[in-house]
Amino acid sequence: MAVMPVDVTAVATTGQAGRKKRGDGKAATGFLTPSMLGLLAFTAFPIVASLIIGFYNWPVIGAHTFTGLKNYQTLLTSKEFHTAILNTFVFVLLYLPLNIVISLGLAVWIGSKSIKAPGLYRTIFFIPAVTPVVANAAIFSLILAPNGLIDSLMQTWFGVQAPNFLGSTTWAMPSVVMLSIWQGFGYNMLVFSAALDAVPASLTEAAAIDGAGTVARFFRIVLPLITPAIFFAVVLTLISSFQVFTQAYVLTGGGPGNATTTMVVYLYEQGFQFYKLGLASAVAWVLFIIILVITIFQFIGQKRWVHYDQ
Amino acid sequence: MRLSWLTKTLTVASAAVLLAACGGNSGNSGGSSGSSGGPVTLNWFMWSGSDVEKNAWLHVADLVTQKYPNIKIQFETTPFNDYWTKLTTEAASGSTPCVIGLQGQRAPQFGNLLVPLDDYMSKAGVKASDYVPSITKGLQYDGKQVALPYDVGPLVMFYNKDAFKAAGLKEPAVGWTTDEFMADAKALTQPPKYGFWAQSDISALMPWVLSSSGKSALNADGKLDVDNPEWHASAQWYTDLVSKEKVSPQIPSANSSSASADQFLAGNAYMRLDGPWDLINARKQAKFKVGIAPMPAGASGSKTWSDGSGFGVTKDCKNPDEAFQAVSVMVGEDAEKYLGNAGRAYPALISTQSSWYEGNKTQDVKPVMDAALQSAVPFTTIPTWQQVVTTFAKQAVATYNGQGSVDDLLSQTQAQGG
Repeated sequence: MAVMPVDVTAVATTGQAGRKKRGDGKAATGFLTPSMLGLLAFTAFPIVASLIIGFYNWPVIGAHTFTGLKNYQTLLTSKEFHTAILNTFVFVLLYLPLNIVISLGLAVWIGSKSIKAPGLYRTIFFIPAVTPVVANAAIFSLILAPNGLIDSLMQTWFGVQAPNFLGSTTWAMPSVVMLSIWQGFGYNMLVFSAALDAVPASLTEAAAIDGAGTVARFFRIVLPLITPAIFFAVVLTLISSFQVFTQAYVLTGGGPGNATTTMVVYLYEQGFQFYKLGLASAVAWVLFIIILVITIFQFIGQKRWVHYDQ
Repeated sequence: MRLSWLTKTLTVASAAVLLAACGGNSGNSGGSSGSSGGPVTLNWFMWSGSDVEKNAWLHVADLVTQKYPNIKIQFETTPFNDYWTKLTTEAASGSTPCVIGLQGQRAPQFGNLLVPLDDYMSKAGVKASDYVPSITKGLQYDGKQVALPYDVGPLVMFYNKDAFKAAGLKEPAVGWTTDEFMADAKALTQPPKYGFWAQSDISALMPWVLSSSGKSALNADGKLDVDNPEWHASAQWYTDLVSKEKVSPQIPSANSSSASADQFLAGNAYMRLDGPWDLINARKQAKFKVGIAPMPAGASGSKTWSDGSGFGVTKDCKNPDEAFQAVSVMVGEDAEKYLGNAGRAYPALISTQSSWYEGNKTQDVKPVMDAALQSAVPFTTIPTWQQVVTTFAKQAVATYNGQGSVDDLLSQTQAQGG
């Protein structure tokens, strides 16, 4: 019965509420305008502009000319761009699974009963994620360089030289992946930790009583329950790993050869070193479409493996 | 209705914001305008890597005001690498500062931003012939002098005097040859210490090509020309230093231009190519004696390139007359002597070069500097030179380290010639 008066008032004041809403709309617009302007000026405008610039030959200094689809044709036929796409996929295929497995593994380990101070470990493992990538990359290049930490240790212990990690076409990409994982696993680890904490103990206990071992409990009970978190982590990590730039740029400058030139490194080169803004914008849109398509497929595919019902 | 009101407000507001931003930029480009002789504030944009360097430039700015009390200089600076990006964006928005620093090898890229100075020079009696010819030529664009040089430097061989002594080797001097270089490098190399430290920059290979064949990176028509037998031979020889003769360690990465300098200063490599602009600093930092020698002579003699930097007046400048007056002081006798004495520049103004030797106790290298400057050619480039540099450096790491061919290196580089 307590609900009734509220309903009555709502019905009775429909007319007033309509006018009131109108007033709120104005106020809301006022409050929203600053951030809307920011969004328009710094997000919407650049997005539209890059789409338009992509159809132009647009040097920074000098006249720009409309060239239609020529930038996209250039990309289609460019060997370097094909290499950049390939490198990006290689990076994603190495980085994504390793990142998920490592961050999930650590989250499970930290969550296990044998760990006394899980908060401490979470903090320690999260530190790389909040330190600046450039600084991390600079330190990694000191570690990986010839006569660096790894090389010196290998010479002292085994008397053999370590590979020239960053100067070798074979090792450069694995080095970039390694730095990225070290830098990036902390965030997903936190996501997984939170998801693991939310798994009801009653379920795992019930499974234990029914005779399920540790492994079975993890794969049959825990893992299905945290699939929404895994899905979330996979989607976001995949998007960010397609955009990999800083690690490759600082560690190897995209080299040796084009061994670590990813799509965004290529974009940066064309746009901000060679000042071909039209071509760089076209690269951005190709990258956007690739990410969009893959993300759409992920959302379609999630029905097969993500369980939202607890 | 409401939607259209909203859109209208937003459009007007955002347009206002954008216009205000644009207006703010273009307003300060020329500085306050005034009739000739009236007070003028000029913006001067120049790179600097430290407070010491910045203060040196501020002193030069004071010299301008001392000579022309009506001119005030507003100094703006960024580190060298950011400088070119910032200059490009400022040029794109039409707000280039009045006076800018320009490096000879970037003249083809930025020369069209600058006012030709030839008429100003003849009116004011500033003679190009007072300056080192290779750099005056380097700062020309379309045959016109677009900037006046303050410093110049030929690429020379830095070497570790102590290491040569310890190995019982004769120190390299004017007249030494490529064969002697190779013999010395082999004698000095005992990993992890190396006789030489190779670099992946195209500018570090150029003097070797010049000395063996006399060819620069451009042909007589000013077009990029590196995919030819002469460049092949020198690039192969240079590659062999790393992967066959092993007198130089492998290139650490495509992003490590400073590695060579660091390793030389740390005493891990005993020879490297560098310019006099780094000499005073190197002597301060190194725990050994640093000597310099000219390029070892190849089949075509001892040849090198020399580059330098200067100052020009931009087309955006509203007070070009005063700006030229300022430039003439910046590269004039007082400023050049001051910069030379302080070790900030090897002066391009020939009459003031002794200040660099006297102020920094570098008299010992004068014969080498004279010989190197004598045999130096200007560092001539093309408008797309940054593409050449980037492409070469990336591929050179792979090629020098034995993971790519010299054919790849030179054909990929040639493709950047536009």
